[in-house]
Amino acid sequence: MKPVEERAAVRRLYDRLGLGARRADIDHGVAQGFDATLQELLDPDPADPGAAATPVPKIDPLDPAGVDDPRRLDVKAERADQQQAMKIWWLDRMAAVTAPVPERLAWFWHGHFATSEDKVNRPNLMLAQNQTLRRLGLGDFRSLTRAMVADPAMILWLDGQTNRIQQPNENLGRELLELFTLGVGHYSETDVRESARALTGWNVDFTRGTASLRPAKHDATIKTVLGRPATYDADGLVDAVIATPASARFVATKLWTRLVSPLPPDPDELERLTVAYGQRTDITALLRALATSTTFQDPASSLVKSPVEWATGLARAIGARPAELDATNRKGLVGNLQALGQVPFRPPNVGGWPAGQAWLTPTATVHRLAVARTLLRQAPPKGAPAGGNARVEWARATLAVDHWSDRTRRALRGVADGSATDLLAAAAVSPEYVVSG
Amino acid sequence: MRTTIPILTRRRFLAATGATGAAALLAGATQVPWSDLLGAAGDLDPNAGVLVVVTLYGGNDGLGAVIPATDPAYQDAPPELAYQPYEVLDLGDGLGLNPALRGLKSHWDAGRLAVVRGVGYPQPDHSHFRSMAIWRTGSPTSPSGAGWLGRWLDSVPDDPLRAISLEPVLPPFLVGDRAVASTTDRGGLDLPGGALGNAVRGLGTTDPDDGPWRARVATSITHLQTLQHVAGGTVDHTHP
Repeated sequence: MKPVEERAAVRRLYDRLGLGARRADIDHGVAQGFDATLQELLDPDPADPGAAATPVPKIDPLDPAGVDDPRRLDVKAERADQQQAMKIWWLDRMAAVTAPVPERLAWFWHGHFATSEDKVNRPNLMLAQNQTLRRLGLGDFRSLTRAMVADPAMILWLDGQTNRIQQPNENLGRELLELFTLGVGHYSETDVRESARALTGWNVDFTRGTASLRPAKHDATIKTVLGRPATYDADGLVDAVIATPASARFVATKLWTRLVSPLPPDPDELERLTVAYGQRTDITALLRALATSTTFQDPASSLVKSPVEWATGLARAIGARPAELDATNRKGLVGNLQALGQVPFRPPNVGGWPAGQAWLTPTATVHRLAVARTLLRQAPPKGAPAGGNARVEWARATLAVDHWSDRTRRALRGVADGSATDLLAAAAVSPEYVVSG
Repeated sequence: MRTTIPILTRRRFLAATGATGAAALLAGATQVPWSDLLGAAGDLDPNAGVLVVVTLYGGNDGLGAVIPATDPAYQDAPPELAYQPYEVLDLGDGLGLNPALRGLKSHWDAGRLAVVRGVGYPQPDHSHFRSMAIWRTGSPTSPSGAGWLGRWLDSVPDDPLRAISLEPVLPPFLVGDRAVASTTDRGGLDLPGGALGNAVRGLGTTDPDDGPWRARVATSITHLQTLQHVAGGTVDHTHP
């Protein structure tokens, strides 16, 4: 295997660990080299002007309004406004941050610990979970998972409120093992039941946005999880489960298939990844191991960009800001992402979003084009040179694409003499930009 | 090149469902006349075979839909919820449809309805997520791969008219390892006119430099044009 050239490897770092490459990223990354770029991405300056410019919105807890309450419709409308504001805020933040890795990992973990506003119905709790994913997303998987099983939105999403010693509800315990930490085949139905018992007794305070354990509802007796008896509580359960080699392999493979290659790592590679992850369950060390694998530099390791990754990458490349859109265009942006199948805070189920060919439907190009034109209207392109061929090359550099194929160069040449907006819109829906090659 | 009859009938099917049925469904209309949906396929070659899959997410109480009203076990569990044999729409063999399903009963009487009862597999999984995955893949042992119709699409030549989802987001059972079903959308299938539209259409050919994913993107753009052509009812001059 002949590795990709360094420019493409640097572009992959920004695509896969970040939120899409910009022209300036490539110039900067190529100048300092792959290793220094990886180091900079994984150890960013905490003072991020882009993050400072997109502060977390204030989302007040909504008053509960029962079915007969005359304020019910007002509360419903306010909830919809809050949900829309949060979507735009997160998209805007992903477009604006200087250091993209923490934001990318918050997004990845949102798809992993997939929780939807659709059932949680409490925007303030969804936002609190989002902040937790961002705060802990590059640290250790143990702290992150401990936080998620005690997270108010997660507890509501997987019915933890109804999981009590007298009448355990298995949902959270089951998904913890099946989808969050181990994967099918590495636990038994007994483990599910015993895990559910360890997670009994949690209660959510909607207004304060906190979850707490009510000892009277918690089963403090001995449970046997993965063959080991103990008086597990939530933290103890998480610690026991993620300490297993199967969990390390599961977490490493999940990140690999979303950030490196859709084909799972071979056994030697997987061993290298789990050693880096180690007893500390170190997510940053795992990311470094992913990026320094030979497969990361294999030309064949391409991934289809998910709709949100594609849209935020485009916004970053052209300097567009979703928060600057008016209400109609905000609605259009979110509506087109919905038609593409991916809206922040709204995964289709607890398994998160699909990947790969699911994004490549015939209608997807129509909606991608609509998103691109919305963003380009907000941030009209500047600096396009004169001359058709030069403009096609300018579009390539603007979107940080490695090379245009003859097909794409020919197609873009036909629109290059007109508006730069149309040229970039067509370039944004090209196979070269929809796929992270 | 397709033969004349399939393209004609498929076009009419798609034009009707894409423009009226699908639009109404996606717009959130509470009722779409079945006659619109079914009539749209009315002139298909009877031998062509069209499978329409309607997925109703959420629970359906099987014993409340196709009711074993004369079965003592049913009557006992619990008696106050059980329909009496005289209440149900009799299907014979001690079974009856729920009294609300009169429309389905008329299809049954005309020999146009079949009921498959007790679908399952050994040692059912208690995970809702995994059960849904099994349902979508038809594979109890390894439900992580391609959907049950996706596997069929993987095994036949590419044709964007072979399987069509009436919603823009593909349901997983229509996603294969390689191929996916087509999608329609109430927002329309139209690309912009002029140079921009032409440029996007120009992206719809595969290039020798394309890897598999890029080739799939290009193919999806070709498929969009086929769908547009067919759903738009444009006269197809290649098939007089």
